[in-house]
Order: sequence, then structure tokens, then C-alpha cells
Amino acid sequence: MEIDLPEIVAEVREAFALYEKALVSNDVPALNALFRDDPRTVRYGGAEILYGHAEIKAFRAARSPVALGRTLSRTVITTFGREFAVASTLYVRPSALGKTGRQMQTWVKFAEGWRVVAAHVSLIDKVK
Amino acid sequence: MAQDLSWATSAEIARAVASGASRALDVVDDALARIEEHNPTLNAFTAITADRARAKACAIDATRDKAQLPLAGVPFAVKNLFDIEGLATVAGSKINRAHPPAKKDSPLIERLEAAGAVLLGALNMGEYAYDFTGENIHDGPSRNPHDVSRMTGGSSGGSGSAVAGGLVPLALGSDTNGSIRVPASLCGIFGLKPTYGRLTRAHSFPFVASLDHVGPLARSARDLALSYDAMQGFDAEDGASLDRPFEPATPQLERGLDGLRIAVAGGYFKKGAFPEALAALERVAKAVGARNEIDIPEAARARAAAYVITVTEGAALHLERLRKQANDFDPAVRDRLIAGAMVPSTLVVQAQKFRRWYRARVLELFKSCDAILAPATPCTAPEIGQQNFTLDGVELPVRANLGLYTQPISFIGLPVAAVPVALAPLPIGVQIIAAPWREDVALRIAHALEQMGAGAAPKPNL
Repeated sequence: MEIDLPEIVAEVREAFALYEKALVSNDVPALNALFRDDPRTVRYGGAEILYGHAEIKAFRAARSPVALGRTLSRTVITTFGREFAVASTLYVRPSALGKTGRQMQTWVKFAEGWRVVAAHVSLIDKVK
Repeated sequence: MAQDLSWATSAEIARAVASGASRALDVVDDALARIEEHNPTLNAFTAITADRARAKACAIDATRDKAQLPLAGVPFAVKNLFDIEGLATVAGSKINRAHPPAKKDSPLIERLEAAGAVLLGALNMGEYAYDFTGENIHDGPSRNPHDVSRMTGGSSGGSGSAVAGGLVPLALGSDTNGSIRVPASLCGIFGLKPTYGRLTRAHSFPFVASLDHVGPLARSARDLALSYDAMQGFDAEDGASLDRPFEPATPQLERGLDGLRIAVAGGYFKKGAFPEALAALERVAKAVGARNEIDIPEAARARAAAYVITVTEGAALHLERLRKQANDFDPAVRDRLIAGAMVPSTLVVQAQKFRRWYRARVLELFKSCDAILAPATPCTAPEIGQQNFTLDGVELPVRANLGLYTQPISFIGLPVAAVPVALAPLPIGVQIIAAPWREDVALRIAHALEQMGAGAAPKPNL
């Protein structure tokens, strides 16, 4: 098992950046495309428990587009082999400065490209 | 515990009520509670018909065959220019408050209620519908649920606010130059302006008889189709109503985009747009695979002609009131109407003559396409009170120019579905313009966009 092959890390970084751009601009079709279209895809959100791509898609469609902007920090992307990666990041939203957001995603490379198969997002009081 | 229907669509509510999973009375009580909680902020409702609504809900709960009611237990409200029995039809004005109460409901209210819907009240609007902002000097502005410091757009501002804010899933508005499509765009909801002559305007307060349309606003394309289907039908009381066969749109919704040729309006419809309007248009065009750009000829002239007809017919309608009660008007409305009373008749005749020419040219475009995409508004919701914005380098008044892209379309009565794109931070709409009497095509595309996630009414953080 080769960890952090540079060209693989570059691929995941690109997919991760696409996701971030789609998220802050609420580009729902792009967000839907980056999560694997499969009933086994899971997303635990700040206030949501979403099992399957259909539930995730419904959440995206109804989400308020207000105040989605955020700043990332301490982003760690680690790849394992050529088809598996974990991306972890902290974030702060200008609309919730007292809180630290945490996001973890599991990425897998399929024929159609890199897709998130599991994600967990949560907010806690700001870590000093 | 009963299902939470606070953000449900009309279709979901009707299903829950028809199946017995929810009671119409509970749905109505919940909606009345939301109105009580949020209307002081949103200022969407100007009258609430709670007793009538509860009585109607009880009647629906007592109905044996609720599955026959496509809108069973669906709460709705109407722009306050529709007649509601027992209330004066104020049309956003101070002057009409002295009118006697309406003797009967508008036929559109009757038709929606016959389908099981429940009227909850009347909604705020720009005075006499001569408005694109949703501001009202007498009742205060309706507020945008996504940011309450911002405009709803108008003139059906209360309709936009009530639906986007989750107070009701369905509202009626009117659209002379864009008054359904503009608030749908700024509030991030779906709106349908049907073909001129399709839905009856009888027992509603007019503005410009030769351009006035009425139609629904909702949070899904299916809800537009369900309510539109329930409201179709000839009415001899509206001189413009056409005796068309019943052409239901709901059965067409699931047909998807197969076989539809969809083009994007270029030229005039891309000029002056803020980046967000073009971004939304691009998302929709990409989702439906629309690559061809077509030119709607003389659109700027069409808008100018729409202005001339609007201001002169509006002035003729209000002339006696302008003479006797000028100070009771909103000054922003009054001064434009007074100006309209002085427009030379030669201009009006020329505008009508041009209208026939323009209509024939635009209809030719539909030989090579089934629908045309265009922005609904040049920008997302401006701040309440904002007077000017800059379009294509020129500073212009907001009030008159939010309808830049809607006016050339309603001018010749084409059906349009406004589809919301939930851009961050604020949503904005795209017009799906179809050939006359092809509301089904516009709604099919709107529904397909919703299925793809490209069009959606986002839920505000209220």
C-alpha cells in the first residue's frame, strides 16, 4: 500500500476543491454529483442524519443558500493506494464566528471519478 | 405524531389529508400558527380569514372521498386584488379601503376551494399592482424570508413572502409586466404566468386589461401544475378569457426533457444582467443541455411599448381617482399614472401596431424551439428602500427596472414558468418561456430541473 502518492493526492485535492467551491456557491447539481449516487452513501450533518443519496439530495435542494461562505484550516488529505482517501478539515463561518466546524469525508475513486461515500460534519464551540 | 407538514408541498399535504394520515384542520391550524409567528416580521398577509378557513377545513375532513380532491386541505392565500367574500378588495391601496365588501369570491378562489384547498387570507402587494419592489406605503413592505432587510419583489410581494417563508405552500398573484415572476425570482420560489386569456381575471381588481394575467406561486413545479389545472376553464365574465379545452399540465410533468428543443435568449436578455443572473441562467442551461442562443428581435422596443400601454391604460383606469384623491395614492405610483394620462394617443396606437408585428416574429422562433430560457430578474433581492442600481454601466431606478427581462415576454402573453436557482447567498429565478398555450412544456422543464437539483425553492433560516 502506497500512501500519499503525489499524483493521487493531487487528484483528490482537485475533487476536494471542486466540492468546496460547489458548497459555498450552493451549486446543488455539482454537490449531488460529488457524493456517490448510492443508497449506502451516508452524510451526518450538523443537524441532519442522511442515509442514501436520495436523502442527501433532498437536503441539498431545500437548504438555505444564505451564509454558506467559510474559511478552511488544518486541511489534511491522505490517500491510501490509488482509489481511497480521507479528507479532514476545520472551518469557520463568518456567520458563526464562535464555532469551529469539523468535516471528514471518505473519498473513493470509481469509473466516474472521485466520489464521497461517507461524510460527517459537526460544529462545536470554538477551540482555543 | 402527525407528519410535520410545515414545509411540505401542496401535493404532499393533499396526499396526507386524502389518506387520512393528517387532518385538514390540523394543517390549517399549523399554518395559522406559522402566520401568527412570522407575519409580524414578513408582513406578507394583510387579512387573515381564520374562521372561514377552519370551517372549510372541517368540511374537508368530513368529506368521504377526499382522494377526489387534488388539493385536499392545502392552505393558500391570494394577493389582495382578488375578491374575497366579505372583504373590501384593496389592491394594495388606501383608496379602495372605502369600497364595500366583495359579495362573492373570485372564481379562481372558488375553483381552488372546489379542489379541496383552503383560503387563509389576503396578501400584501404594491399599490394597484404598479410595482416591482413589494414595497407598500400604506401597509409597509413585504419582506424577503431569506433576508428580511431585502425586497420580496413585486407587485405580488406578499405572495412571494408567504410561500418562500413557509406560511402557505400556495398563493395567487397577478402579472401585468412581471409581478409573479419578479417576486418568485427574488424570493426563490416557482411561479407560473400562464398564457394571456388562460385563467379568468373576473372579480379581481384590474390594472392593465390588455396585459393582466393571474397565476400561482409555489415551492414546486408540481404544485404550480396542480393548482393551474384546478383553475383552468372559460369564464364569460372575463372578456379576455378564451374558450380552450381543458389541457391539464400535471399528467405531462414526468415526461422529462425528451424531444424538447430548448434555446437560450441572447442579446437583450444578457445585457445589463448582474453576474448572479447569468450564473443562474448558465446552471439551468447546462442542466437541460441548452446550447443554442437565439435572438428575440426588438425586445427593448417591446419593453418600451409595454410601458406605453401600461401607463396609458393604467391612467385611464385610475383617472377619476387621480382627479379626486391624488393625495391618497402612493406618490411613486401616482406620479407615473399622472404621466400616463398625458401620453399622446399616437404612441399607444403605434405600440399596439408594433405588438402585432413583434408577436408574429417571436412566434416564428417557436418553429425551431419549444422553450426559451432567460433571466427572470437582473439581480438578486435589493435592500428594501434601495432606489437605484447600475445596469450595464447606467444608474437606473430599481422600481421600474426589476422587470427588464419579464416585460417583453408578458407583452405578448407567452406562458412562463419562473424556476428558482438557490445561488449563495441569495436565490434568483430563470424564466422558462414556452409557445402560447404550452404551459405544460414550461412546467415539464421546471419539474425536470427540480428533479436534477438545478432548480429548488430553498428553505430560509427564519
